[in-house]
Amino acid sequence: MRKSPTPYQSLPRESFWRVASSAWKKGRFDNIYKPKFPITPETAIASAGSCFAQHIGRYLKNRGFNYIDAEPAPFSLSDDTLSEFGYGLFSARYGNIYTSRQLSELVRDAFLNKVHDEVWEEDGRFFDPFRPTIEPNGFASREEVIAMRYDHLKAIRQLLRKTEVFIFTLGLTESWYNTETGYTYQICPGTTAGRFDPDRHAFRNLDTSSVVGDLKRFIKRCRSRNRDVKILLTVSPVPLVATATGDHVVAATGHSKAVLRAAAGQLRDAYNFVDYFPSYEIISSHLSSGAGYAEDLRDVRDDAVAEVMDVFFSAHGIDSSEERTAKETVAEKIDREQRDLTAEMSAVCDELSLDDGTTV
Amino acid sequence: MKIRIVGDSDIVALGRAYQSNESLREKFRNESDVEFSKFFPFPNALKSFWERDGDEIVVRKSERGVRLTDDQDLSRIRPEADVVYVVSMPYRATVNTNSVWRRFSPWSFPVKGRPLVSDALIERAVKHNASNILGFIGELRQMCNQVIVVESPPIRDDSGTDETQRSGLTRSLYLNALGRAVLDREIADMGLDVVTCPEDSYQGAPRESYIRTEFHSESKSDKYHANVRYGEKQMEKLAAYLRSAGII
Repeated sequence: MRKSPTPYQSLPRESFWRVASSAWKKGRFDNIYKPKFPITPETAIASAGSCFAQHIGRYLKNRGFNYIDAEPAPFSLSDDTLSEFGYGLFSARYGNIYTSRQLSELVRDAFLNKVHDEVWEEDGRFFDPFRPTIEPNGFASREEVIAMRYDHLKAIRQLLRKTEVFIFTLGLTESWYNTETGYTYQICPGTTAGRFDPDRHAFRNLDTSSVVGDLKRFIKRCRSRNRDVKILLTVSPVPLVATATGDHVVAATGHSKAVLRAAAGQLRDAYNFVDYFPSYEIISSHLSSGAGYAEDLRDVRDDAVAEVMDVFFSAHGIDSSEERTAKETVAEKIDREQRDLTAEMSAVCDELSLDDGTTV
Repeated sequence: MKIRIVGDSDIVALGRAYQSNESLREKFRNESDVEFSKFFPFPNALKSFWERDGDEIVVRKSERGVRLTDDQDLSRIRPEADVVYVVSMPYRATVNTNSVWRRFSPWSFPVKGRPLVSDALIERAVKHNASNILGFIGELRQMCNQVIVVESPPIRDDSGTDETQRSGLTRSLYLNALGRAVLDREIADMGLDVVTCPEDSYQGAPRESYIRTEFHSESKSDKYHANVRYGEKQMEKLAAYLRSAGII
């Protein structure tokens, strides 16, 4: 009997698991990313997000893209020192922004030029609760924290006004906030700095509609000042270092990533100026058998990041890394590999401070 | 006892004072022999100018400045008894002369349109800029029984820096005090004494005011160094310290 035609018969090859998995094994991710809008080396790009976003920014900078640094380092110090002070990690000195809620609140405050006066004091040093790791030993005074925060918000306003594509890597759904002010912290108070107070600090696990709502508010605020800005969302493939839900950390990671992935998909489908880049899938799909992860099966290997970024560049019609490598001298290659290795080993991941290293 | 005074370009004023002032020489000479060597003029000290070679410190010749009075080859420093090293340390904060301040501001001296820089980062930059000298002093400390640090002269009020005022301080005085405090801590951590600038060389309170104009270098093109008269005062203070420490 002759089968009737179905919608599946006209689908592209990569829509079928058998074909896609076969190509995947050969290192081909054909059409996994079909950009909605072009990105060229001239496009003004900004990025924020979790630790994984640092890798994306680094690759864009190394490739000579027009990657905006709204808070450049004033002194020529070593990369390690500058990273310690939060310079050069992202497009501004905001440190890791793990949640959509923190991003939304930050951009709201930036455009309102509103600085919250909460400051954490510890042993005579002062910390910004919303970016506690950008000064390794804290600031010298409360006044300095506030002055630097005003300056930071100004830099963010300037950044968002000139950005053409804003890349945000969604990292976590789990977050901590101040019950009196409603402000969301970068990380649980008491981990990298500050002191945890159960009467003032509460846990929140964002659901999909909350993440979508946060990002819609972020987008609305950005586009009210920069009507042509486009948003590229990614989801960090890095699992949770710890969960506060009481669930198993693997189950909590699955939940968190599913929420973030669903939210990113919803927004991509809702707006023609929002796109999703599937770095999460390239690294974490079981087709990759965990090969993109380091020995701890949490950190992402730099060669996996390179593979992800090749997909990104290739989709935008930019030379693949193979071509680039071929043009390098041996010395340049060694130098690049050492730089990459250093960067891989030192992606600043504040979330690690949630794990005190206790073994069981 | 041999006294070797080594360091940055500020030892020129010390050396010339010593050479030109017989009564000053008398304060040292009875029991000692004094030599001067400019080892790490700025900005050479920003690069690695020395290395350890077994039990010796080798000061790279390409980085060495001009010897003033000594007749020994001091490019190799070896363990010797009865030698005191006096290091003229460029306490004058290098960040003060940095072009950075045309584009940035220290957080406490904001200038419209210039991003703010935290004190901690400024302190880190000072430490970074002094790291080769601090490393050199640390090695010298391990090798020699007696190492003393001499503070470089107070800053001048005509260096052409942005003079925003706050709490009675100018930006350059603020940066200078911040930087000198960093170096104080580093030197103290090494357990070394510092012969500070003569108090009466300041226009006002030590470290909160500029050097008196009578101590400016005679050269109109030199906006940084002190003159021989300052060198005499500082050498007298050094001699007093060495006497009180029982070294001379």
